[in-house]
Amino acid sequence: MTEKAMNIREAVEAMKILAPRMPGVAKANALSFVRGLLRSMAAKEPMDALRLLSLMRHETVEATAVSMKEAGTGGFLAALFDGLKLNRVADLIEAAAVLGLAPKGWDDA
Amino acid sequence: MRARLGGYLALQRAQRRIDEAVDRDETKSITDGLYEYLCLALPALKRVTFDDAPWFEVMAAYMAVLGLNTIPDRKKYAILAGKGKEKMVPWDYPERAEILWIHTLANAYHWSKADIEALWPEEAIGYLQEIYADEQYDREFVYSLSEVAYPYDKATKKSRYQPLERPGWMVRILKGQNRRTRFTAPVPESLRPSGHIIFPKVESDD
Repeated sequence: MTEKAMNIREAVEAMKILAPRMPGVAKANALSFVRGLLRSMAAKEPMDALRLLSLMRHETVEATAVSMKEAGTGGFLAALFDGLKLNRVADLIEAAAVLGLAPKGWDDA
Repeated sequence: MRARLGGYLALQRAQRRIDEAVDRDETKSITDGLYEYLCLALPALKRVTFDDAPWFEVMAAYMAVLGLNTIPDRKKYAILAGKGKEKMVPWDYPERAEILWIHTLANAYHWSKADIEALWPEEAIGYLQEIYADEQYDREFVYSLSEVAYPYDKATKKSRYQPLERPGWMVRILKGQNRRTRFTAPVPESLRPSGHIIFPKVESDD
């Protein structure tokens, strides 16, 4: 379901979810940032994580919730990670900064 | 290809729609604004193609057009260094900014709309800067002839010339520039007024 990259409408929604979690992150640490982001989202704001995944899977939040029911936390995180590999999180953040959805892009490492 | 003034102003209008949509946090309006922006550079772009394209391709195209149409050496134009939004007026409307560019240039140089739209944006900014500076000099001259320019100081019992305030961009000293001093033409001694200056009394109409 995540083989096809998001369209621009889905991406703007994803940028809105990701942008507030960005300040002070260096691009060189993008991978560890994504890991931390996914863990904290899954633990603190699971609905945001679910919405992000549903956008990357081009389906409704309800449909994603149903399909992820069996997958467990590990499967859920893996799906999110795969989605953010296809829809590169570094580029999403940069795009959010260009559009003015995030106050700034990546810090220089 | 880089846009001339006409295209540049249209791009600015689309950009303003994107910015307003971002402020309102409306995803649909943001994507509509992006489509409008890209259509100006790529008129053959169909909405279906835009909606189905991967987001990174859309953003790459947007950033390419944005980069191409950024005014080179923007910092060297003092008039662009100002911060904050322009004052709103009661007769404002969305396209007024673009109309104002054409109006100001046409009014000063009597060029046609087509000629003005064919200017490079930075060229037009240079002209506008000179027009606004000239208007300010004219205002200063008229002001210097009026009584209000010489308020009476009770302490010294003298009237002293109070220069008209200049807009920020005319007095701001940009980084790396030498300090600008206000130019004052020396007035020969023989031409200076001597004795007491008596201002004529202004009679009221009634």
